Amino acid sequence: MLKRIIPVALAICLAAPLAAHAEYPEGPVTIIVPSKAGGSTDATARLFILSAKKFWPGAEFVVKNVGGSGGQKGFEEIAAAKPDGQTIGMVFTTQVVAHIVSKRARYTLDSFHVMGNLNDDPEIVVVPPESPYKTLADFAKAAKGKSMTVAVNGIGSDDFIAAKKFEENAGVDFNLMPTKGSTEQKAAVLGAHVDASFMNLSQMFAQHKAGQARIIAILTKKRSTLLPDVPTGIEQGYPVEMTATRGFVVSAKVPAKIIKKLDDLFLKVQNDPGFIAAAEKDNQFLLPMTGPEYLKYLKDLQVETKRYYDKSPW
Amino acid sequence: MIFEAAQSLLAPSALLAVFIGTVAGIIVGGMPGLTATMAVALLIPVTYALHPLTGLVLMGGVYCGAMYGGSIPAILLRTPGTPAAVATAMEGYPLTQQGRGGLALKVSVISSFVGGTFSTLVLLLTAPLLAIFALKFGPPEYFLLAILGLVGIVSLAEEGKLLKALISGVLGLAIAVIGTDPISGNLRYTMGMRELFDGVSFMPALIGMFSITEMLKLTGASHIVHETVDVKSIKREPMPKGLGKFIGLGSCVGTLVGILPGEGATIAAFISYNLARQHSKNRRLFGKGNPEGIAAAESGNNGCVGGSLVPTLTLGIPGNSVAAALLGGLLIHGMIPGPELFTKHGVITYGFILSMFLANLIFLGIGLFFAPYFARISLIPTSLLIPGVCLFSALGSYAMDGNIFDVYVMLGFAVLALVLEKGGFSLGALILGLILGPIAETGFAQGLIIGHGSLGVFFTRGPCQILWAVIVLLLVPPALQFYRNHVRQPIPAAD
Amino acid sequence: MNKRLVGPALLAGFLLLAVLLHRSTAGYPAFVQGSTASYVRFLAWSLGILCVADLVFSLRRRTAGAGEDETGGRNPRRFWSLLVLLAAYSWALGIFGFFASSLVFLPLTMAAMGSRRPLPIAGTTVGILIFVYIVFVQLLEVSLPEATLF
Repeated sequence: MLKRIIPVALAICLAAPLAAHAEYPEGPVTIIVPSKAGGSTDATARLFILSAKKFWPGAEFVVKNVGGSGGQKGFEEIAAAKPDGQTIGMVFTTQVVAHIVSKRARYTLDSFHVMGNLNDDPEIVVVPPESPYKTLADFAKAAKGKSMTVAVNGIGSDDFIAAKKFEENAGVDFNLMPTKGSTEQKAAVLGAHVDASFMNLSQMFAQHKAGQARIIAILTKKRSTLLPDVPTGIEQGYPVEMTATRGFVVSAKVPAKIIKKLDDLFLKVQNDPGFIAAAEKDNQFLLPMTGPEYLKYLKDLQVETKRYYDKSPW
Repeated sequence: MIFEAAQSLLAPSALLAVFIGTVAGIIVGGMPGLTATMAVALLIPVTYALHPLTGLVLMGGVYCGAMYGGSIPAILLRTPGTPAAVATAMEGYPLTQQGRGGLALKVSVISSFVGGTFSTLVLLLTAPLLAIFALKFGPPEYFLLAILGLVGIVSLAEEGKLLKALISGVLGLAIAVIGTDPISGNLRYTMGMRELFDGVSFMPALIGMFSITEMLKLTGASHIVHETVDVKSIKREPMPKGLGKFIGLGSCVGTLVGILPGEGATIAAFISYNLARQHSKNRRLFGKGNPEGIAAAESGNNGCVGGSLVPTLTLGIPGNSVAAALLGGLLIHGMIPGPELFTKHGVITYGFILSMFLANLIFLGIGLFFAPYFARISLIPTSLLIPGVCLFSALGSYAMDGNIFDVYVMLGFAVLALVLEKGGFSLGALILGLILGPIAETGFAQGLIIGHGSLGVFFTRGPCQILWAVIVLLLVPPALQFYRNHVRQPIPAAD
Repeated sequence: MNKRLVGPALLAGFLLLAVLLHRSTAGYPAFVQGSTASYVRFLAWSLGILCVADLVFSLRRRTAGAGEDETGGRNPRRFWSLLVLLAAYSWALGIFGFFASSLVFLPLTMAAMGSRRPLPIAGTTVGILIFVYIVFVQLLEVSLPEATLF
């Protein structure tokens, strides 16, 4: 009897710590969200966790909000985290590449292993409800005659680059007003303190529907299913495209074995019907991209952003 | 619709959620470094699985409870649980030292209740109307609002120390400049430290200046309560008369400032505190434990709760960071702010608003019942109390952003505060500068952009002119007094 | 430190700060020279002028500023030991993590502040740590300082 028990007991004793050691994750996985709690990037992270827990039942996830400075603080923290896979993080465009381009960042795209993209938020051009401009053409024409005040999220943001693209395309010069974020932009547009604002669809479509603001263009290839009546920039003869993507990355120094596990988890969440349903209910626009796809997207975006930076450095 | 909403609120699960939310809010608010924003953001995925109303009333309870909860440690330990409770600490803690902590707590909970209830009433009845008021405020108006707040320095200044108070205020503004330039996005004065990219963290600085300096001073005493006080006399004390005026003032100021998107309870509390200080008959008692100051500050910060939800629910523009997190809680249930919220989702929206009356009632009950017990904290010997408060202060500084650096910020500001106090400078003014700095700078710079580089934008707009009038009105009495004291009579050689 | 010297010394320091602040604005990008840079310059001027004015005033009333010593019966030994302990604790948090550091900091500080009976010291220490564990770690999932040593 004892002869049989002892080897089993020994095996358990030896295997248990070994298994425990080999098993990643050890303890909670921190997700660095480079924006404040309660925002849309934050919501994406929290929905991700909700779904990820289904696939990694024992694992714990913690959100760490590192807001401010256009996400730079958070991006740097992801890149500088201990490379054990216990810290992953989110990036959003164009800020993540804009900081590299403006030589401010202490990271490059090579600092990250890109896991993939989850969703995006199309760029829009929005004017106050009583504004005389109904189309991009009206707007561009008026902008040639006078200096239009246009609110954007901070310098180097998707809004800023989109505004720069539009300036180049339409041959106009805006009086750009950087803000601390969508709250200030909303207040500035709804209160008619500015002539227009470049911002994201999720931030304004409700106000558009309620007649508190007017979206005159959406800057993506196709119209949004949410607002089928709003024409794209391309349709109106201004081929300017911009969208804010939100993806996941992890430090590039993390061992390949762990990276594989993380990539696998990410793909599972991306295709989880529960996650898709929750995201859609939250009015998030899904834009699934795999790691390599998203990396290519980021690299292209960096080249494009650099072109605007070199033209007029900020 | 409102009747229907009230009925759905009476469901046991909803009632329980309000209760749990409020109690959790008081605890979160009472712990420095734990914020309502944090708790609400944490609750968002939890509420996803719940009925929308249950989830929302839970978060609403947290919001209401936390705003009150911040005043408890502020009064008892000079450790503001939330930044909005700083002004409360300035008046409440001296009362605790005099053995009147129970009274201070009572004044605080009643003022919080009135402020919170008033602003919820305003939200319920006039939300769409007031949202229009919120939109009138553009960058130039925010700059002037910051100036209006800074004028408070004059009333914060002690006799004969006006210049030093002004210097402290400007110093606060200068410290607030550290971080990312709001217009160019460039980093300034960060010395390459990532932790400073977003500026000096406000809460750790506050904890250092208030909590840690007080703990360092307490090393010389055996108890917080002065030894001369008969300990047994910490009994129930009747409410002082004449507080109604200040509670009413605070409720109005809090609600109005709360409605402005982006402005917070801290500013509301300070503005109403300063107004009370200027208009009180007991001016000399301020800073030495005046219940009137607590009444104004606490009704002011709780007044923000309902106010901040006005633009959040009607326009989708969050009034402050907690409201922003709450907005996330609405969106996750597919409820999009705007008129629809009051029609299609009316039952839930009105149920949520009504639940806040309930939350206010709950914390009133808890606060009144526990006030005498809470007050006993001041009887704990300092040898046990100091280490505990220091631990929670360090933990709170860390927890805000998860940064060890912020613990050093706390220590640094504690030392700075001790030195400044020795030199006769005003900490209240310094904090006011720190709070208002970012608003002043952003408002000024954005205002100039809107005005295409001309300063005229600060004078020609209607709301700006009203704000200028208020600022001038506030400056007249102290200016007259300054003239009487300093110019007409040469300064007597002070004792 | 002599209290009468602290004020003027601080004022001189702030004056220097004002000058440095003013000079730093030259490094701001050209397109914010009219906005944020001029705001910072305005701060520098205000700080400078106010400091000079206060220096002049304090010279005119030499005897002023003595005031009452608000620190009353301060105990310098405990004061300094608390400050040192706090600095050590901040440093230890980053290396040994929250619970290990606190387990040493709490009893040590209690002893330094004059606690002598072991039972209240142990009870308070354990009580606080359990409370933090339940509220911060379990309920609110706040991440506490972790050990970086291992």
